[in-house]
Amino acid sequence: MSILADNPKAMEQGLLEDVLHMDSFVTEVAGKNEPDQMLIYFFALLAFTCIFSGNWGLTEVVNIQADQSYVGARVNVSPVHKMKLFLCNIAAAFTVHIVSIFILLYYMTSVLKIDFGDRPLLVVLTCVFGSLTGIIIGGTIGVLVKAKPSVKDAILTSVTISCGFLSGMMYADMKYIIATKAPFLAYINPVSLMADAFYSLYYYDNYDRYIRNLVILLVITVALSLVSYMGLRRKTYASI
Amino acid sequence: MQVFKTYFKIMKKQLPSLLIYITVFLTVTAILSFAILRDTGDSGNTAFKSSKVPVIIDNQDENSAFVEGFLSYLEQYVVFKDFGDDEESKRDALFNRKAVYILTIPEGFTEDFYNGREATLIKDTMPDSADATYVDSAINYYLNQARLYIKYNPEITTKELAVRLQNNLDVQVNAEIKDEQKKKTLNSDIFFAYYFNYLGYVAIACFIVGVSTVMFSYNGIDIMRKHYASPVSIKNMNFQLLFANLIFVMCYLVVFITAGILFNPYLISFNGNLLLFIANSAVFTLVVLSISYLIGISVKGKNAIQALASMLSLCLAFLSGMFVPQQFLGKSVLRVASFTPSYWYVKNNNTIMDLTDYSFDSLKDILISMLIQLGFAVAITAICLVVSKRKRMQAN
Repeated sequence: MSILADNPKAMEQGLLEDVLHMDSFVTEVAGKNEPDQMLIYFFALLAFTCIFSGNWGLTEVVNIQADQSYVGARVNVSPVHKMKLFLCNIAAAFTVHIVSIFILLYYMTSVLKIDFGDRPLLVVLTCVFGSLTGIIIGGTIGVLVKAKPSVKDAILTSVTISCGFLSGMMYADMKYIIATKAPFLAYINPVSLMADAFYSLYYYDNYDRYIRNLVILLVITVALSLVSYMGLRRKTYASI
Repeated sequence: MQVFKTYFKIMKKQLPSLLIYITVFLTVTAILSFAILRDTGDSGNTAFKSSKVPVIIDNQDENSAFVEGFLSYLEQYVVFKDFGDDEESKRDALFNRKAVYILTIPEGFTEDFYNGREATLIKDTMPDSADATYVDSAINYYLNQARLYIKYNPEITTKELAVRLQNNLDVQVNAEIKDEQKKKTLNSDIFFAYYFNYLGYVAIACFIVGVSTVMFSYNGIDIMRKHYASPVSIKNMNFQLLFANLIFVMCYLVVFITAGILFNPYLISFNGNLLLFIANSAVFTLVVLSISYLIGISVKGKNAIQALASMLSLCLAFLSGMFVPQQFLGKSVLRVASFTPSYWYVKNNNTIMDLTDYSFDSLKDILISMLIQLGFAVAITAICLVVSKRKRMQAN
């Protein structure tokens, strides 16, 4: 061994003991949640379920439009302000949906033992935001698409399923592929934004990424709300 | 054949919705296929081509001869991956299994190491990864050797040390580190296993919407009374309905199987495995058809069909391993899943993927799983008959 050639007294100085003694020179980063790609599926699934509230939004918009449903026709001839009734219905739908989301969240954390990190209140807040966005998406599709309710349903389901798919709900790698190859798609996809918010709460200590996701989600919600409002307001029917 | 014709007349009214579903699911399936190819294929992700462990290096120390020597030693066992300089990209890559180890060389490491002070590297790894343990061993081996050289020859320069260690380790180290994530070489069967598993989800979602909507229209009490008053016998009517349903689902299946064959670049010729995949999906189609029929004759409102289609398809897909591979699902989940037909469908696809010979012993498990699926179809059909009978009595 070249150590002995350099230092012939090495054996006397304890080389043998040192050779047998192995130190560890690597330490794990402390205090972080472990990476687990399986969580992507569950984050995306919860986000998808929140956005699925779109069905409530769509139903409420159909029920407020006189040319779409019998309920809508009746509402339009009643003295109650259409928008007031619509907001009340949306609030009721939101309440029912968010309760079901809380049940799902409880099931995921307590029964399935899915780890959402140590900031549960922010997880709940994300669900609330997401459910609201979902309802607005459904409402916007209901307003913008001029077709039979069944076609609107199909379009809404297709949009939600596509959003879920691109967020890794069916194939976990998809979220990463989209984030690296087509990040724009991730920014306009509410399911992806929510799933990424859950991910950042679980995996990162700082709030930068979480806040970014929530702000974009909020912007989408406000923009779509305006579109829905413009489409619904002061609509009158010459004949139904 | 009035009933048969009417079935497709009603179906025609649903055509816009059905076309939307077909288009979306075909697009999703196409993207999924390309993603599978990209991830598992020979071209694309080089991390899986190599048997070396993908590692991200974050060198915050100076580019000393010692660090360079250490990294060139490490390169014999790992492959360095570059995901950009920001922390988020690196950690995202680790989370998504694009790398299994992030090794940070802290500032002043070389100086501390040379002066005998405490010097440690920082790692961020996949939990319980055998690869990470191998990388740890390789790092510790090198640095322990380096420590000996420095201790017994304090005058040694960083350059000399790097050369000595390289010469010494070339002879002594013969460790082989394998990438635990290294996937099998992608072939036609692995691609089809992914594809047909996903097809199960598509089948549930689409068939429930298509079949249940039409069957719902046939099961209104007034429509049923009208039918019973007509000269067409119930047996004949049911036969026509069954025939129409079968035509619909088989057409759907043919479209998606054709798409799968077109998407699969590894398919050289039709082989026994592909036929078994098709047979398995045909059997599963019968189960889904019976479920759709049951929903169609049981639900009270059309809106419920859409909700049931989404809920049931996602539940069965998650529970039985259509999205999350069965090997990653817990034992208890799989035990519950074994009470669903989709579990046996997915299990069969996974078995067919590994099938290499067609002896009875090899095919036995596949046939048993198919029979179990058929058993589900028969059981659900029996429930359909009971529900149907009750409805008929109500109508009368």
